[in-house]
Amino acid sequence: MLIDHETTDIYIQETNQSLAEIEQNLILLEDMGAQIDMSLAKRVYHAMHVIRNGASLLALSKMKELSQKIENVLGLICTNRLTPNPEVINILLQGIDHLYQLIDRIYSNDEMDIDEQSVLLTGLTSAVLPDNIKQSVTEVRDIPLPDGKHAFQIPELNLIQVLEQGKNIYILIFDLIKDVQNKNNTPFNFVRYIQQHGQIIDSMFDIQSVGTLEEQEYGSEEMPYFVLLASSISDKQLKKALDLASHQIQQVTIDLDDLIHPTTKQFQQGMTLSIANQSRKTDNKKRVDLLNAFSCELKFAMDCLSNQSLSVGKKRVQSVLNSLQDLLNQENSVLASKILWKIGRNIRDYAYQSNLQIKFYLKCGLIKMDHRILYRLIEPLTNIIIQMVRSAQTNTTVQICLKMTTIDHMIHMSLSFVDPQVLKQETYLNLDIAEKKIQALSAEVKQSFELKAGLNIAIRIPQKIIIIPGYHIVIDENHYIVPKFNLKECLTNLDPLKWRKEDSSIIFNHNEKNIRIVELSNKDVSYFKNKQSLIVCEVGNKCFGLATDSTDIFEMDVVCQPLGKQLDSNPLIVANCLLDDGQIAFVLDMGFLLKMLDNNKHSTKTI
Amino acid sequence: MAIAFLIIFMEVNVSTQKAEKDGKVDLATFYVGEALCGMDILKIQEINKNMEITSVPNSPDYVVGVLNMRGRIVTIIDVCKKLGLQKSDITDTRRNIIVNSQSEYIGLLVDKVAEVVPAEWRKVTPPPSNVRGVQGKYFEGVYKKDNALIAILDIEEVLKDESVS
Repeated sequence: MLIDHETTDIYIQETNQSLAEIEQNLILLEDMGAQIDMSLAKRVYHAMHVIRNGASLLALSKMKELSQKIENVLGLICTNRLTPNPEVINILLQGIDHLYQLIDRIYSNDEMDIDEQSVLLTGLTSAVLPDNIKQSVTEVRDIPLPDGKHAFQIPELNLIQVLEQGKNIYILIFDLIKDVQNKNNTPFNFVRYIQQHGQIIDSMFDIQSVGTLEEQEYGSEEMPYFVLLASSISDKQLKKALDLASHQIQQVTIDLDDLIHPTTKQFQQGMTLSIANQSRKTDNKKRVDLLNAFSCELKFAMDCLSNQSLSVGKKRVQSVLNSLQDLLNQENSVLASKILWKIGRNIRDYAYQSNLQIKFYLKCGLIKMDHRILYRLIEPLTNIIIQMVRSAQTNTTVQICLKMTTIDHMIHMSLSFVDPQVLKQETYLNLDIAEKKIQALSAEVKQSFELKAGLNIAIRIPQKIIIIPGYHIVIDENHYIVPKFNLKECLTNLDPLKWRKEDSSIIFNHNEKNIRIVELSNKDVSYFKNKQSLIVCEVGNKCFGLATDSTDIFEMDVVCQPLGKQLDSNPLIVANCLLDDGQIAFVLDMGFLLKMLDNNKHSTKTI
Repeated sequence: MAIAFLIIFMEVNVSTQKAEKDGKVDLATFYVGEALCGMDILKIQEINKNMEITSVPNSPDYVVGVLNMRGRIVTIIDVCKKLGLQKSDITDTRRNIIVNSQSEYIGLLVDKVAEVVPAEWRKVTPPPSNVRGVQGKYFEGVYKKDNALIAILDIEEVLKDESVS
C-alpha cells in the first residue's frame, strides 16, 4: 500500500505541530485586531492549506472538509475582508480543536461529527461576502477530469479566490507508482514539490474518486493521481518546472468567467519543506549512532565490573548511565514557550466565555524543559491563573505574567499580577488540586503575599528529573507503577476457575498457557479469584503475571523521587512517585519480581 | 513510668563520645510510648498530625510508610518500634516530627508532643551504654528537669537503616 501507516504517522505528527503553530498565531492575530500583520495571516493560511492538501492525499474526508472551511475564513482575513475579532478567532480556534480531535481519531475512520463547526465556519464566510457571491460558499462547480467520467467538485468560493489572484488553473496527472514510489520519494514530499509551483486546490487518487478497479483504464501497476493546481505561471513554464509530459498537464478551459475575470499576479515561491524532512532523517540517524555508541560503552563498563575492582566498575557504569540520562533529557527538552503558549489559549477562551478582559504574558526566554513536564503544567497553571483572575478586584483588564528563570539547576516559575494593586487586601488562593498536580512533577509550589509586590505563586522544578513511562495499577490499596517496556498484556474479566495453586506457585491459565503469578504477600488462591485484572509482564524472555485490583490500567509518565534511606534497601521498589491526586505510588523492580518467582521452585509448564 | 524507664539508663557507664556539646539548647520533648524523649528543636522542620501514611510493602517493621508532605515524599519511622519499646495504643495525640537528616526529610512518629524545655548541654548526663536492649545507643544523653528525666535522642543513630548492615 502506497499511503501506508508511516506516511499517515508523518501526517499526524506534522499536522499536530502545524495546528499548534496556527493556534498560537491566531491568538496573536486576535491581539492585533484590525491592524493585522499580513505576513503572519498568510503564514497561517498557508499552513492550513498544507494540512488540507495532506488530508486530501490521505482521503480524510472530514479533515479535508473542515480544514477547507477554516482555510476559507483565513483567506478572507488575508484579503482584509474579515477582521480577526474575538468572535471570529473563537470559531477558528474551535475548528482547530476539532481538527486535533480528528487527527487523534485518524485510524478510527472519521467517526466524529463536524456539522456544527462546519455550519459556523460557513456562516462566518458567507456573512462577510457581498450578496452576489454569498452563494459561492455552498455552491460547488464540477471540473471534469480528462477521462470525462469523473470530476473535481470544488466550492465556487475557492475558485473565486484563486481566480482573483490572477492564477491559471491546471489539471496535472501523475502516477504515484512511477512518479513517487519508484523514485523513492514520499507522497508528502511529492505534494510539497508540486506546491512549490502553485496552490493545490484539490487532488484525488483514491479508487472511489477515480473509479473502481474494474472501471480503471489504467493497469494495475499504475495509481493515477490528479491535482487541480492554481498557478501564476504558464503551462509551458509549469511543464518545464515539474518535468511533465504533454499528456500530464491540461489547463482548465471550462467557462469560469461568471465567477471572475482573471488578472496577472506575481508568482509566489512555496516553502521547501522537503529539505526540512531530509534534515530530520539525518538527525535521527545521528541519534541512533549516538545511542549505539553509549550501548557499546555500557557493555564495556559492565565488563569492567567483572574484570576490575567493583568500585572502578561501578563508577564507569554510573558515568555512562549519567551521560545516557543527559542525552535522553536533551532529546526530550524543548523550549518551554513552544508548549506553554497553550496556557494563553486557555486563558483567552476563559476570558471570551466569561466576558472578561485578561492579558497573559509568558516570559520563558530560551529555557528548555522536558516536554512531558511542560504538557502536564498547562492545566494546573491555567487553573491557578483563572483563580488569580477571579480574585482580582478590578473592572479593567487583568494582566498576569508567568516568568521563568533558572537558578542552580532549578527552574523557577513566578506567577504574579502586572499591577499588584488589583488585590486590595492580603489574599491567598485555594490551590489544592492544581498544587497536587504540580507537586506530582517533583516540584514545589509556594504562594506569598506582600503589600508592594502583591500575590506571587512560586514554583520550583528541578532541571534534571527522572521520568518513567509506565502503567498505574492498584494492588491491595497500594499504588504501583509497572514500567511500560515490561508490560506485555493486560487481561480483564478473569475466569475464577482458571486460578489454581500448584506446588507453591499460583498459576492462571490463559489460552491454554499457564501464567505464573508473583505474590507480593503470601495469599491463598481464593484471594486471587477476587482480582479484577492480570498484568502480564515480560522481563528478558520470561513472563509472569501480577494480579491487580485495577479495572482500568492507565498509562502515565511518572516523575520519580528517590527512595528515602530507610527504604533504599527495599528490593521490591526502585523509586516512589506522586500521582496527580497526591497519592504515592511505587515503581516496581521487575527484575526482583522475576527473581522472587525463580526462587519459588515449580514444576509447571509455563509460558 | 517514664522516669522508671529512664532510671535504668542511669545505672550505666558513661559514654564520653556523646554529649560533648556546649551552651544552651531548647529541647522539644515528646512521648514515645511512656518514655519522655527530647531533641534539639533546631533539628525539627515541622510537626504535623497528617496520618495519611501509605504503607510500603517489604519494608522493615519500624517503617510506618511514606507521607506526601507538600509534594515531598517523606519516610515515617515508628520511634517506638525502632527503640524496641512496647507499643502503646493508637491515639489522636500522635504526631509526625519531621527532621532533616543528611539532606533528607524523615518523619518520626511519636505518641504525643510535650513542651519545649530550655536546657544546658553541660547539665546533660551522657547516656547509659550497657542497657540490655539496643536502645542505649540511640541517646545523646539524659537531662533532668524537675522530677522528670528527658532522654535526648541521637537522631542519626535512630535513623540508621540497620537492614543494610
